[in-house]
Amino acid sequence: MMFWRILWSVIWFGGIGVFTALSLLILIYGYRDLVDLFKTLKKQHEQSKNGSE
Amino acid sequence: MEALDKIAIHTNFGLIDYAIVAIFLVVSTALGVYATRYIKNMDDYVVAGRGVQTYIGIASMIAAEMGLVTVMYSAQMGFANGFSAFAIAALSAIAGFIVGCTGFIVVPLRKLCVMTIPEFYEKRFTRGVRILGAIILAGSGILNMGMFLKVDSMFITSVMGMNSDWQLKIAMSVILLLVLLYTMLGGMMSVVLTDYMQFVVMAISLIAVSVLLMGIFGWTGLMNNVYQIKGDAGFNPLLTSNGMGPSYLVWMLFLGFIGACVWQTSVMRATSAADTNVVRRTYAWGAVGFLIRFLIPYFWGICALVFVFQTPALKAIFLPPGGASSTLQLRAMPVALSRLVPAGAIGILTAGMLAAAMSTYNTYLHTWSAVITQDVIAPLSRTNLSSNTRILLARIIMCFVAVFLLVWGLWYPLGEKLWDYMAVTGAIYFTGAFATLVGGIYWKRASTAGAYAAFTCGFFMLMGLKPVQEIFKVNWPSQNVGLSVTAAAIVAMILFSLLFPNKKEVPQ
Repeated sequence: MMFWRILWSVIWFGGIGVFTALSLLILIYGYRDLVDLFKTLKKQHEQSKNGSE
Repeated sequence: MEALDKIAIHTNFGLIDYAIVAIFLVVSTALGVYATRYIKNMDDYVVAGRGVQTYIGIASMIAAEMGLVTVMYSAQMGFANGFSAFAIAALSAIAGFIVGCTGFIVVPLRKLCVMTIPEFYEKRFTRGVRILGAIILAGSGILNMGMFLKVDSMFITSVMGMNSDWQLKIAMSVILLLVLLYTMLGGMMSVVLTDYMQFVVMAISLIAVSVLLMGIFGWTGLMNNVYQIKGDAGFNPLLTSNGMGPSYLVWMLFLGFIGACVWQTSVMRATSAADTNVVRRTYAWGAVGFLIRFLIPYFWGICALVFVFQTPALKAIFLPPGGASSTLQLRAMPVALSRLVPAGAIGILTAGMLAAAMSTYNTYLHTWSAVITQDVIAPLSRTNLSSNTRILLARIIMCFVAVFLLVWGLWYPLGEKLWDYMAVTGAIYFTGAFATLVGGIYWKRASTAGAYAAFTCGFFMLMGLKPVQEIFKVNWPSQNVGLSVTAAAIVAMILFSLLFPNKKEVPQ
């Protein structure tokens, strides 16, 4: 029984710790990715518009 | 249910909580509508111009895969099985991590630049396989989603203290309409943008409520209480006495792989990714999401179990001699949280769970409408449909899917065994699709006949439904049916491919 108690404790505290860290990374770098995505799309649209003219 | 209604009236949900929820809904919808300006063609609409980078991809994947319906069913699992349920979360994370490290199925799909899985079927097999695969995929997916509103509504009712049926129906209809509005207009761009915001709200809510519950119960206290209530079965997942056991765990591991690399809503993240490195990173880090989407709700369910056990009025309802019904078990977690979480925090919790629900609705609405447009209507159409026509078609189909959800999930009275229904409707598609995808990608001799045979085997998953089993007077555990049908689909793919090979060899 001790094995399972230790295993679930490790998974719980490890999991919640990694998730908290990942959430912080996503909060910061996810915003940067979003801005990049908008820029990329805008660029693609301008290129296709220029190409069709 | 009358006794439960009286208990649900007493909730900590107050005016400040209503304000938090209202602000969240307005901001979410405004962001979704804002994304519309970036939609110029079908690529933008379906796969966000294939410009999604790692972090936003992870946020979108976790937000989409962690629906409120997942929270509800997982909490029920924690309530019923205690810490043993943690094994499922661990297996799901292992499966996601392996997919991320190896790129199993998802990387070849991204390399082929397909938007949807059925599109691959046409490239590898024939147009007929694409259309059949798309019909089964969309059909099973929409039926699967039909349950979401019903189960999600149980959470909202219990936490907000709503007691009348019509209040609940109107609230959920409004949420669905808001999601429909921005998803219909902005497609994948709206999905990605709102998923980011919804991920942030959801993560804050999940972590804050978990820390709060840890403070209330204490880790050692929880473990001791679960041992007192459940004994060894509350910790050891290999014991069959709690409905789990080795075959159940194998089935869960398989479902973990399916959830990561065969289910279209997850695969959409791979097909939207900027390149194959982003795909691998998204899945490897997304494994944390696959772990958490089960782990935290299991923990909440365990806390609910201990709280109910310590509260005589609740114990009489949720832990009666002989056991409570499945529906009652589903309500245990939200009822317990409505009493444990203080005013203000409960608003953040509800906003977080609404975020979970909305991010799943938008992904599913978008995915199934895209599949029907791209893989059923477009291949059947004799003319080459323009981007604008396809976007218009996807929007119209999305409206129909939303109407179906309202009618089927909320207004139509369904049976109580919802989990069985969901697992089986999903498995009708993915048992056949797994064999077809693996064969199609990794086996040169996989043929069209093999693909049709594998898809046909999937229909045997109907035998996993209890009403069907009652007709045939059998009682088979769903995991045994699932594993058998999966094995049958793989055998059928191999056998029929060898017996009826393709006349023209397909390049790998």
